[in-house]
Amino acid sequence: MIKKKYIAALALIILAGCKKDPTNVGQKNAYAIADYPQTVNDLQTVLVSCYANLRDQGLYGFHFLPKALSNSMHTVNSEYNGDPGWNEMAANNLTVGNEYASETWAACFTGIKNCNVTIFAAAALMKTDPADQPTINLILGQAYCLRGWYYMQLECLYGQDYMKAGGVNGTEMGVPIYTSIPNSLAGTQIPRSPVKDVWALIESDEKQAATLLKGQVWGSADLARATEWSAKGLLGKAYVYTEDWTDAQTTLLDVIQNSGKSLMPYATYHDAFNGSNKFNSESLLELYVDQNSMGGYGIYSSAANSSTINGLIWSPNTFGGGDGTEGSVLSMGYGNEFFHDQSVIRFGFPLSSVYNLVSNPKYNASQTASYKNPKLIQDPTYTQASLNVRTNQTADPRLFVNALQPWVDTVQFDGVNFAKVAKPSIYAFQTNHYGFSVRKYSPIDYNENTINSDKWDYYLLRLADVYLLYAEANIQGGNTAVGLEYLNKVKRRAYGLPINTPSAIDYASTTSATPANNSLDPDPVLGHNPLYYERWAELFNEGSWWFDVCRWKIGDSEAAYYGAALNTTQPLTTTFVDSKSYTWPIPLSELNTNSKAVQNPGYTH
Amino acid sequence: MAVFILPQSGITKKTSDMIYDLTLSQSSGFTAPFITNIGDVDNHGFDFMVGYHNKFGKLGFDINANASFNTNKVTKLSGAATDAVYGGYNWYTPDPGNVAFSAQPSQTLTITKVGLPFGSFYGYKVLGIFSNEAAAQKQVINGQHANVGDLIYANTDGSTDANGDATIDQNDRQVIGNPNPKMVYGFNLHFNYQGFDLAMLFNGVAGVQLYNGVKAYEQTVFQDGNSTKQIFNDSYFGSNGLTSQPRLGIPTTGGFTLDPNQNYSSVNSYFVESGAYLKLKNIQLGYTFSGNVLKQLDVKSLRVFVMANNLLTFTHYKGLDPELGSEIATGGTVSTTPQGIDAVTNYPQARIYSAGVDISFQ
Repeated sequence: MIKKKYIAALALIILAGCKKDPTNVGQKNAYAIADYPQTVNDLQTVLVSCYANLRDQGLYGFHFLPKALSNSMHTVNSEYNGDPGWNEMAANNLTVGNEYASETWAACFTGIKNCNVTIFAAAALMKTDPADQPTINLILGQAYCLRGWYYMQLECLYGQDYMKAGGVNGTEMGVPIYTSIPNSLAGTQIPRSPVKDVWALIESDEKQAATLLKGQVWGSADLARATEWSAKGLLGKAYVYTEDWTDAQTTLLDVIQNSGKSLMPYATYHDAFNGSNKFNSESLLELYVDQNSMGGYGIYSSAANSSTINGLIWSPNTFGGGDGTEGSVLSMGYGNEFFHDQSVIRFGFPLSSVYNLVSNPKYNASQTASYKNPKLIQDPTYTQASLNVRTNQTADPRLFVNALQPWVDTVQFDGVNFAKVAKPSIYAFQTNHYGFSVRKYSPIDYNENTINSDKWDYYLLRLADVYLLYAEANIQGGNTAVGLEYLNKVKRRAYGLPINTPSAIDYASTTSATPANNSLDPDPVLGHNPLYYERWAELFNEGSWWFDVCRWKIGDSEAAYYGAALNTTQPLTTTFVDSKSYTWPIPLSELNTNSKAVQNPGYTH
Repeated sequence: MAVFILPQSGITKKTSDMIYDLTLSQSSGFTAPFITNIGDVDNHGFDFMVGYHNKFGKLGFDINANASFNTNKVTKLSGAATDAVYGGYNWYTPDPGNVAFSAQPSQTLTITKVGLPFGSFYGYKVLGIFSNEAAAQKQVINGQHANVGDLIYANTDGSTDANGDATIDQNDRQVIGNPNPKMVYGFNLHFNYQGFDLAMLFNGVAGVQLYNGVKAYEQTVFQDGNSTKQIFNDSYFGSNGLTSQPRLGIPTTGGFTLDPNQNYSSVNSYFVESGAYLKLKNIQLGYTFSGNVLKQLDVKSLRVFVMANNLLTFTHYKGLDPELGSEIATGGTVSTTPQGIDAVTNYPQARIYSAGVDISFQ
């Protein structure tokens, strides 16, 4: 016999223990849509995530440039072959599980999600705080600009094909489009939109961004923010990539004439990729990097920071700290990659790689041999000839912006002391290899093993790119003279000449010889194509050449020109497969979780 | 003497609206798992227990044995957006979210689908190791032909390339193991004789498979990491011929291609082993002192004992410890759903020895 009070208590317990749906129980340590953002400063915090995502390991944080793109473009040769993911990139032949393709996909979509959240939050704040509409519009503009940028990366890398003039290839598979935050599980099952719809979205986002950001000039603390000109420049790029020459010409000319930007003089340009001259006269959209990683390992530090660590991978090699012989080489980072020999030739370097090592007349036998007191040095005749190449500009001067020559250039290998650059140890004593080191976006005055961060900003868009895109739009659109003039402006800057004055080094026609027509190994394609050559040389190792290779379909000739890479076992022409190598695979993790996603042909059997 | 046997009791446990942390599509931009009600899982089986105690002269003993049989099956997966849910990784570091930094990068180990046991292992089925070069060249995976010493994968979908060679890819994966144990059993033994007492607790599991993810790291090289001496037994490594381990890679002119056949870098049944074990979980030997000693010490009772935990393990499993805990999932949290995966991050159980004294005063 159960007492009445116990029955009552039991009933109460049963009633009180109501059913709680896990979807209705929110996290106590996260913001809820109902009460955030409440002020414009709150919304600014949400916007920051759109920019910060650019430093994800799958984008400019660590892997995208040095491991994925630089191997694909063969700007570097990778001494390290222990990572199958980046060996596949060098072979231009990926598996569906390639982790770098997977990371970039995830990073770009996270960026898009962050932009969509910002757009949603801005709309919510507009209702509660209409007085701040001008500032909210600026925030919205930046979110649209970045969203367009992220979609452009995705479409170029994973889209089945580039759209051609007249909308050709427009119905092929692009990437899934999210213009708002999904609010149900079914909302995350989005099929791949057609290529033309993705480009339409990119163009619409950049146009909206340009309108919202119109006339805005940022103060010195906000220079990393997108502007009307960033958006228009990206819009122009999208038009060129989709061969819409007329719209490209109009938009890009607007940027050239009205942005207030101008090409840097060569002296500034030479020092714009290693930490100096940030936010210069040519920069249209720049990713700000702060060398202070707050005591941690770059982007993986447990303390929030604004670092990136790409320089670790292609760090310069030096004699510093060693005994001065070619076998005793230190790198200012991991030294996994160095400047590919074929790129040296393509920049028109006229000397062969052969030089002798001769006795050092300044060698002091009473002291130990060191990098300051080497027994043998490079034959001074060769060193002088190399210096003459620079003075006489017999090679494209941009070679020396992008690369460091062993025995000729010096670096501050420990941040204080200077030492000569050395060949990578894998090429020690071999006279048939140049073994230059990477200089652009590389640590040249500190050791990145000690200070775990890059020091320089990354240019997401600069005026030289706009000039070259404008040149392409004009040449392809029939205005050859205008196009040629803009190619020449970029070239004149590289040679230190006044940009707008005709000079002796100008290209006479669109089939004139370029520095790539080097008698040591003439490039059959770039050797007589100033447009292709200038885009390669000017934007070398900044990540855009891969998109040019894919949209111009010159992958086979690139593979033939570069021949081989240290981290691949077959010739590049064998592993470059037309049906597959121009696009990256949709990651397996996407196919497993999105019932509507379809793999790119070439990766299916 | 007394014997008691519990009648067999059948149990069916149906879990509905099971909570699961579902991975969302990467294109949604959300990387944190989405906690949702995924579906229904059925567990049915029966328990069985028997006991016996008796005394022969001064030796008394007491035995209890129990066994539990179970079959696990997913009956509904309505909470997922896709037909199947994939999960479980061969983690190398506990670094949350870094599934790409692994010998089997970004590859899921398990599949959960209606009609299958929860978290079944899913990968290539290995039929053996090629001993004939001509036969090996007929298998192509990611454009690479196999060689003698490589694993033979079952060509589940029957696809071939232009030359008629079997092509192995993601579509050839099949269920290769079940981490849900079919039988869990144990027995307790107690003996006492003239003040000595001995107690032993055994438990064991039978009818279960484990994924020995650590074996991949022990028999191959992974990036900058170290390996173990097991690598020297790989087929065609150094002066080896064909051994029981697949080959590490192929020498080429002036180089070495690491694992073109993905012997160690794919999820396959070479790593699925039987996880059946019997463990002597606890053994305790004690002595209770009798009257005279107690009076001298002026205590009511005194017992000394020595004890060991995890003393013996009887198993064919080649890893460190077949009694696995749950694996670490994305986000650094312990996940209950991928089971039976032995990863580098798993810490084995320690053998513990202890001794004690039990005194009670007036």
